[in-house]
Amino acid sequence: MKPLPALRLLGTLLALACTLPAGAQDTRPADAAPAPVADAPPQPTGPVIPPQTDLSKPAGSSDEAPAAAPATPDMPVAPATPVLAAITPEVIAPRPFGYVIGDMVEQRIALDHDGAPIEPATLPPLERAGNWFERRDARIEQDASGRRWLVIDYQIINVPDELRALELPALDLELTDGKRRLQTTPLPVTVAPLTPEVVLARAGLEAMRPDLPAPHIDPAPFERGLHAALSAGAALVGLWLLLALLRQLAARRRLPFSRAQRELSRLDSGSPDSWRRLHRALDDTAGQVVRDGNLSVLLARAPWLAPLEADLRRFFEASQVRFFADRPAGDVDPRSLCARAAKLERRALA
Amino acid sequence: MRMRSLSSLIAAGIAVSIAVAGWEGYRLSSARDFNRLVDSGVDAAATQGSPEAEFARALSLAAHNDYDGAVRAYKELSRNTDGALLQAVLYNLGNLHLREALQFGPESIGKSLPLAELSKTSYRELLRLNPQHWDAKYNLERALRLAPEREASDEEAPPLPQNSERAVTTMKAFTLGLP
Repeated sequence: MKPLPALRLLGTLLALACTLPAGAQDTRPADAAPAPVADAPPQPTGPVIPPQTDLSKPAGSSDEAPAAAPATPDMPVAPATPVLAAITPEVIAPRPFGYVIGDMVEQRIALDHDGAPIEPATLPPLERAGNWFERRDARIEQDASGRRWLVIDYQIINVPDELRALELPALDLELTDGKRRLQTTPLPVTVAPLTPEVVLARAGLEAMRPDLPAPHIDPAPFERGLHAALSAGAALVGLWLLLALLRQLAARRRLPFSRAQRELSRLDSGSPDSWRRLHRALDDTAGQVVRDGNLSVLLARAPWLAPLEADLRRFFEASQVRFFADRPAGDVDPRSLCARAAKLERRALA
Repeated sequence: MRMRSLSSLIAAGIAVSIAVAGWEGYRLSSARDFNRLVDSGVDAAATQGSPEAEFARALSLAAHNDYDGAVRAYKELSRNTDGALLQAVLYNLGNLHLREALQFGPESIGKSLPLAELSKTSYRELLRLNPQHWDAKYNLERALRLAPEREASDEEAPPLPQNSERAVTTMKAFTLGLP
């Protein structure tokens, strides 16, 4: 297809316009004077690549970043401004390929230079870093060998229309010594889109992924809580029963009526010894010798025996008859009386 | 007497454990009831009072095209929840905005752009919490297709390199200087 004459003319003009600057330079005479030098030093027009040499040497050394061109007689001397030497530490670059939106990219920068530790005055701010990345975290870590690293996490928050190499931003941080700067170069990583520009409209590849359904409440924590409470309750019940058993056993050995009950089981119920044994239990409980006349002393000391007051009075009367009148003591049975007293005693004291 | 005090203490512990078991049993029963309701239908689950039920209510509002009500419900939830539920809230909130933006489409960019920006904010907040949320990645990319964030240099159209295909001298179907 032939281009139209007007379009051809436009193309010619554009081509001439593109080639004009180069042609103008070429037509400059070889002996022409150089262009006048501006007062200020020339400024870089593109990204600054930090010098690879060691610039941490004192000012005035030959490999330090030049502040300005050396002064010449026909060049005005600019006022001396302090220039911070730039150092480029070792950087562990992230995997440079295979990223999609949302992925995290970790950059590790060694915090040492020529074997000496360096310390950034501030960590880089956590903010959006350019069009593609956001700085999510910046921290100082120490590895197993004791080497310190500045670790920076970037997240990819934007995506190009097609697979493309993007650059992790360069860093330029002042160090705590106030004399040097830590600088890194941009690091390339390739990022690809997940979705085509035009929706495929097939299962799972529609215009957007669907909403998440209402979540179920996880019953596991409640089940665990219920099991724990029931287990603890069962354990405590077992412990309580064991303790009750121990208390009963201890009471049978320690309490006066319980001890007497055990001994009376080996004696004849009608024997004088069984009567004496019950008297001794009553005396031990009251802390003094108890007779019919001072039964109130016993009941004051051991009020749990109050339900047996009448039986105890009958016991004392029968005992008087049994030992001093030399007659049968009636229907009083020391063994059963002692058993009932022991039961009340354990209920009150065990 | 010491053993007696210990027994009383243990008895109190038994009472406490019974009370805790009763409470946990009640919560377990409520959770199972809620899950049954969710399985039977979202609207039924929305009648409960837990954060999950609030989520179900927001979902129900969104299903009934009540955009403002659903946004309010999700926003309220986002302030009071965390963990997996917060991630689900942020994702569905982003979807709510994006769905609305897609309804207007690129033709009504004045209406769709703010909604697309809101959806991007939600998805990015979610991806900050969970960078492996693939559905959020997918939908964030769809939102970026609707409202792209171009590089400043792209917008300013920098000078093209001489070997670029867009240079007149190398443009296809154009021969400089020939008739």
